[in-house]
Amino acid sequence: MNSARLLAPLLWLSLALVAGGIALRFPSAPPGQSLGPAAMPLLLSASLAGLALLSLLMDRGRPRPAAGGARRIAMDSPVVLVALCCAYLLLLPRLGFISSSALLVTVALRLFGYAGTPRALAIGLGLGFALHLVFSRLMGVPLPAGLLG
Amino acid sequence: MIEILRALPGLCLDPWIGLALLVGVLAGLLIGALPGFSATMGVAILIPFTFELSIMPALALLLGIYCGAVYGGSIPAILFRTPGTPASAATTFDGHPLALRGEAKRALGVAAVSALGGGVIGALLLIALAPQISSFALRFGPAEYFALAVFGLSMIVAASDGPPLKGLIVAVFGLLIATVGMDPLGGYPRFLFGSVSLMEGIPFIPALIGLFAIAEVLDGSPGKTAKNAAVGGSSLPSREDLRRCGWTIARSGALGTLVGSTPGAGSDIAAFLGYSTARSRARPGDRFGDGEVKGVAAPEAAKTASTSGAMIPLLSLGLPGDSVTAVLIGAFVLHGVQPGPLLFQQHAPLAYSILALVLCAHALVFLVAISGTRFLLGVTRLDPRILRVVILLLSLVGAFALRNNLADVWLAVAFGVVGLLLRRGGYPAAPLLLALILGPMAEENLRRALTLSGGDASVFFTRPLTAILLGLAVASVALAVLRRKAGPISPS
Repeated sequence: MNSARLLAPLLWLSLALVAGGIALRFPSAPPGQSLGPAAMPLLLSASLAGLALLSLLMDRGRPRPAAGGARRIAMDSPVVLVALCCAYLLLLPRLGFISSSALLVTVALRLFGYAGTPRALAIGLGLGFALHLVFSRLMGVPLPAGLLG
Repeated sequence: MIEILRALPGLCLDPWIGLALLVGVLAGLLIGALPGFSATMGVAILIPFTFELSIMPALALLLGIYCGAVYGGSIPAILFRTPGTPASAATTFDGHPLALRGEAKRALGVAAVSALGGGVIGALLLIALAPQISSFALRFGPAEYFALAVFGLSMIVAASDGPPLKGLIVAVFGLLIATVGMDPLGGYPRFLFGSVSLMEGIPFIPALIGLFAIAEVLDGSPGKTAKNAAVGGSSLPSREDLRRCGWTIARSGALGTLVGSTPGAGSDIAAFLGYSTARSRARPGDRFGDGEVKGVAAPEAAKTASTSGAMIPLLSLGLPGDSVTAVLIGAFVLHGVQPGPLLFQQHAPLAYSILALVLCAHALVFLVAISGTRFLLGVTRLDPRILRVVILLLSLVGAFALRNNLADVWLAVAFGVVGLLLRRGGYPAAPLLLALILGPMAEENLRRALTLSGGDASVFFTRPLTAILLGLAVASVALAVLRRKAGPISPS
């Protein structure tokens, strides 16, 4: 069986087992109620485990897709973008909305192959200011001010 | 009806009401089009702007936002496969493939006409059938609500692309995630892992933004879309499209009104039900999932009609039909209007004016949507890389704006990763979204029903409406499995 095909059902199964294990520690039904807080998570964990096993069984014997070779991580790959989002969220309270947004936009545009850092920075600052105006000034959302605003 | 006709000229001739309605519709379209901004959030945020207005302009502004936002969510759903609101998720199934084929204008035109059709049908049904529908919805007990939630989930599993088993897995996973937070009946904290932010459960808006907007950006789809969506047809649908979609709009409009009038079942369920009903009635040659205009018309008509449906329990019983009308109740009370059974008896002109406003709002949404299509399509001519970054930044800010909480933005990014993994694994994301909406309702009513019956599970099979809904749920999934085995409907 293809390991990639096996991975998803096994992940679902693990998730179901972990959730079910945690739910087992929830208290039983309080007086006057037929079901307690554990009932629904346990029912759903069991269902998810059952469906994952069914998925494993159904995937057996299916033709395996052509295996791809080792690939380099592209500059705009999801991994890089998620890392960029995490960096943005860590910087946001410290640098403030406009500065960190300008940085996010500049770096993201460069990763996507947009030519010219000054132009990307200008777009980032423009977007940062525009969104700050709409969200903070017009809609009253208290965006993080940070050190640089 | 005569009362509505009497109220219309007064509303149309009052410049302040007209202006407030136009501003509301424009704001609603913008809010709906922004990923993460729901109609609920739009109405809630803009309520303070109505403090200084008299009652009719204030209500016109709020109803304009409501109707505009419900349609507005379909614009990014069609152009970028990024639904601005949960209810627009069903529009992506066929709207986006149309845009990819270079028929974005056609898709937006069909969406606008269907929204108008559904809105008018819904408003007419609201006027004609309000007492009957609301009395029907009043009969619902916990067992029926549980069955309704299961039915809603089964429909989306059946309507999703890919094997129904994968849809079922995602739906159950979504229901499991929906149990995070305080237990709805006893208040026991579950799966919090020390996080206070999760006490109220997984916030829906960040999950929506992550699954549908951030996952898109991570996958690189907005860029792909913008490149191909710029080739246009006409803004108004052709006669052929109108002929093909006429019955679909009428049926979905009636269905949407019924769903909308059921408390707890909002425009999102209406849209998915409208879509799955249209898909289940597909004819040979229909290309559902691959850019079928009926696949755009059905959810659009159903969700717009559901706004009128949601007004039925709101106006006649004082009960919210969905989250937006729950916020609207507060706004009505703020302006001295107490929705409920006495409204039509004691303030009949006001009540009928509100109904007339709903009609006017739908008409104005249509006019703005049609005349603004050129401008909306202009967005697609932007550099796809810039568009991708704008969507990413808007998504992150939108997630923050909900509760001014950075934890929500982290959650949105996490759901973005989940959405991407689901997509790469061939799992549909829509059942997860619906499970998050319906999960709390399903659990609360399951436990209530069993408590009321003394733990006797036969309550779900002996009550006729519950048995019918659960039977339909099983049948819809079974039908999807059989259809999958028989092969796709679409010639593609």
